[in-house]
Amino acid sequence: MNPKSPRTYSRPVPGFAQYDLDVRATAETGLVEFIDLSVDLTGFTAAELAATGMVKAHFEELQLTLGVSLLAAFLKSGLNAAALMESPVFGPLARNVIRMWYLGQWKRLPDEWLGKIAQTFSEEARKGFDEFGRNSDRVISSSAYRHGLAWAAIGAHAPATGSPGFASWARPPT
Amino acid sequence: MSEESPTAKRHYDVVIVGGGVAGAVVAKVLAESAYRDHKSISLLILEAGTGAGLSAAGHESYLENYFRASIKTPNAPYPDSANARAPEDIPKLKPPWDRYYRQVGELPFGSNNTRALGGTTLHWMGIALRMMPNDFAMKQKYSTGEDWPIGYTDLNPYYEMAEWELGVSADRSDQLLIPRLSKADFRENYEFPMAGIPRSHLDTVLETAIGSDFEYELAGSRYPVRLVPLPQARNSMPRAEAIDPRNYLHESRRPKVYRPYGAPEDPTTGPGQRCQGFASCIPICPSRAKYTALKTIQQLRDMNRLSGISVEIVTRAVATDLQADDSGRITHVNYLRYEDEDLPCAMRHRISARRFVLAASAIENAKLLLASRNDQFPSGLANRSDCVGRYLMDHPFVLAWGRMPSGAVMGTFRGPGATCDLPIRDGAFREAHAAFRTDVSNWGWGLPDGAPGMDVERMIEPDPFRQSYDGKPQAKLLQSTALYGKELRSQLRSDVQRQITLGFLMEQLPEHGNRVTIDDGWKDQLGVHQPVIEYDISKYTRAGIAEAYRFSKAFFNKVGAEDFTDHEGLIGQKIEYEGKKFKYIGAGHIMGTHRMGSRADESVVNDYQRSWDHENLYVTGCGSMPTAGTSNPTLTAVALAIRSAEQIFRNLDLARL
Repeated sequence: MNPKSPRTYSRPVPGFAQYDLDVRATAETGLVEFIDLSVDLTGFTAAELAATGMVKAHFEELQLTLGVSLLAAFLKSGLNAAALMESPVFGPLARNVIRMWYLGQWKRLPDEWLGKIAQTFSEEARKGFDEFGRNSDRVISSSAYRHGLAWAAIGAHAPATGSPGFASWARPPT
Repeated sequence: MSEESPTAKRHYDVVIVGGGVAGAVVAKVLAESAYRDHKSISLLILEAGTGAGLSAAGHESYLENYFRASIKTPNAPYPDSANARAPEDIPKLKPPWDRYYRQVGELPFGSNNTRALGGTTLHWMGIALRMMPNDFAMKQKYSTGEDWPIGYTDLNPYYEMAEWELGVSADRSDQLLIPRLSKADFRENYEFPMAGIPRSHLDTVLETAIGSDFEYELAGSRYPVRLVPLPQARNSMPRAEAIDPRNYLHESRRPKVYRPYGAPEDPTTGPGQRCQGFASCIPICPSRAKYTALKTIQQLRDMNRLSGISVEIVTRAVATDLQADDSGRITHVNYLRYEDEDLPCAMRHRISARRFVLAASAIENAKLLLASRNDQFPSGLANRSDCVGRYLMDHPFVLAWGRMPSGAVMGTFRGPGATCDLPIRDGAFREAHAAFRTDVSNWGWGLPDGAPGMDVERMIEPDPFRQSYDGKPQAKLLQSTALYGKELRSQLRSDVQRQITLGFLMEQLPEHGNRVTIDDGWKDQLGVHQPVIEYDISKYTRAGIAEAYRFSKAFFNKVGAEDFTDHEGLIGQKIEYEGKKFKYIGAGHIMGTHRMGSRADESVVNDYQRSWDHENLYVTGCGSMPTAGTSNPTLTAVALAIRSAEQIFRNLDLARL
C-alpha cells in the first residue's frame, strides 16, 4: 500500500503533535455514537469499555483507517446494531469494531467490499479511506491486544498481560 | 550492558559453542567445581544470536514483539537475525523454502529452536520430566529402538542435580503415580527443591469426571487413567527441608534453604519468585518464574567476581568450523562475529582451547561437525561412524479436542499451559507401537483451533472462511446467524469454558534416514551452511498415533465430552495410517543427531558425550539421546550435561590458586 497523504507525515504516531491536533479537530464527528455502538456490538457496558482505557484509541484507529467521512456515515447511519451486522455495506465494519474490541485486531476489508463501497459512496465520501495503509490483517497495538474483551468475557486475561497470582488457576474462574 | 564484545584472549581452558541450557550448565558446573577445589579456570561461551533477554529492556522488547504478533508462535517474541537464522515456526516442504531449513524428505520436520542467548529455553514450556527407566533400554526390553550406554540408575543422581539447577517444582509422591515408576526410582530422602505447581481448576473438574476406576487397555494390559501433576521448571514454594544435592557447589555457595531464582536482572525479589499465572509460558514468561538458561548465564557472569574464575560470554558469534591436528585433537574453533543482525558483514576470529564443547542444539551441533570436514576427515569431524546428523527425532505432537457438557466451567486460559498429564508411557505395547504422553491443556482450544479468536470469528461471521482463510470451517461449530452484543459475550464465555484439549507427544524411534546434512548450495549471507533435513514418520509412530486417537475417544466418552477433533483443521502436517488421515506439528524436541553409544562404529559420542574420534571434543544436548521416550527432553539433556561437565573437570588439570 502506498499512502498518498496530502499531509507532511506519512504515518501518524500517537503523541505526535500534529496528529493529536488532527484528532481533536474531528472528535465531534461521532465519538458519542461510537461508544453507543460499541456497547451494542460488544455487550459490555460503557463503564466497562471506559475502564479499558481504549475508547479514544479505538475511535482514532477507526478514523485513521476509514477516514473521517466514511466513519461518520457508518456511525450516523441510523441503523441499529442488528441491522448494521446484516448490512452488506456496514456489516464488515461492525464486525471489525467487534474484532478491535474483542481481539485487538483489524481484519483487512476485502476487495469485494471495496467495490461495494465505491458504488455506494461518492469519492468525496470515501476521502481518507486507508490513507495510511492501515487496512491489513494485524494486531492494532499492544494495548489493544492487552485489553481484548474476549479474554474478559471468558473470565481470563490476554496471555502475558495479567498476573492473577500464584495458584489463582486452581480456583474456579470469576 | 547485556551484549558482550569479542574477547581479547585467544586461549581458554574450555570453549563452549552455544549459549543455551546445555552450554550454560556445562559452564556452571565447570566454574563451580573449579571454585570448590580452589582452582583457576577460563571459560568462553560463543552464542550465535543476540543477548537482549538478559536486560529488563530487552525482555520488554520480547514482550512487545509477542503482543504485536498476529500469530503467537514459539519464536514470535524473539527477533530473527539474518546472520543467525532460526527456523520458521511453520515448516515448508516446497519452495518458497523456509528461511532456514531446506526440507527434502517425505514429511516436513516440524520443530524449531531459538537462536539467542538462553536458547530454546526462552520459549520452552518448562516441563521437566525424567525419562522412564525402560526408555533407556528399548532394544533389550521391547526389541525396538536402541539401548543407551547408561541407564536410569546411572542418571538418577544427575537428574536430581538437574532438578535443582533448573529449579523444578514437583512432589515426589505425585511422580510415583506414574504407572511403571516405583519408589526405587527415587532416592529415599530426595526432595524436589520446590513444592509442586498447584493443579488447575480444569484438572480438578476432569479428575471428578474421570472417577477412580477408569482403566485403559493397550496390548492386553490394563493401565489406570489418572491425572498426574507435571514437574515444572517454574518457581513455586521452596521446601525448607530439602537438601541441595549439587556436589559441584562449594559449601559456602550451597544455600541451606533453596532460594527461587527469578528475573536475571533481579533474581531474589520480585514477581519471578513465584509463578504469577500469566498463562503464556510458551513463548515467554513475563515474570521470569519459568526457568530459562538466561538465569544460569547471569549466575555465570556473577561468578567472575570469584578469584580464579573467568567466564566470558560473546554473543553474535557464529561458529563456522573446528580444526583438528594430525592426532585428531581439536585445536581451534573459528567463528564469525557480526555487529548488525541484518548486514552481511562479520569479522573472522580463531580461538584455541584445551577442551571444546558443542552445545548449539541437535541440528547446529551436527551441522558444525559436518561443515568442519577436511582432507583428513572428509565426512566431517567426529563422524567416522557416519552417524553425525542421523537418527534425528522429535515427538510428533498430535491433538484431540472436545467440548464438555453444556454448563461446564473449566477455567480455561489460566495458569501454566498444562499442570497435569495422563501418563501411560511404558508397557509391552511398545513392541508394537509408539508410546505417547498425554498433556491436558489448560488453554482450551488455543493450540488446535486458535481459541478464543476463532470462536469470535465463527460467532460474528457465520461463514468466516468464505474469502480470506485457507482452512475449512468446522461445519458443526458454525452458527446460523451472526452474534453480537450480550449474546456474543455470554455465548463466547460458555463455549470457551467447555473446551478441553489433549496433546499427545508421540515417541519416535531413531531412524537411519532421518537426518541433517549440509549442501554447499544452501548457505546464509555470511556463507555459513544452513541445515538440509530429511524426515519421515515411521509406521511404529503412526500406529501409536492411531492408538492415541482411540484413547482420546475413550477419554472424551468417559468425561462426557463431545469430540471436536478435526483433522482437516487449521494447523499441522498431514500423514496417513491405514487409510486414516491425521495431522501433526513439531514439539520442539529436537533429538538424536549425535547419538551416544557404547561402540565407536555406531555412535558419535560415548556416555560422557565425548567424541570417539577426538579426545578433547564433547558434543552435548538432546542430540546425544539414542532414543526419545516420551519425556520433554530438556531435563535429560541437563542431567547429561552435568555428568559430562564433571568428567571434563576431572580430566582437566587446572592450576591451583
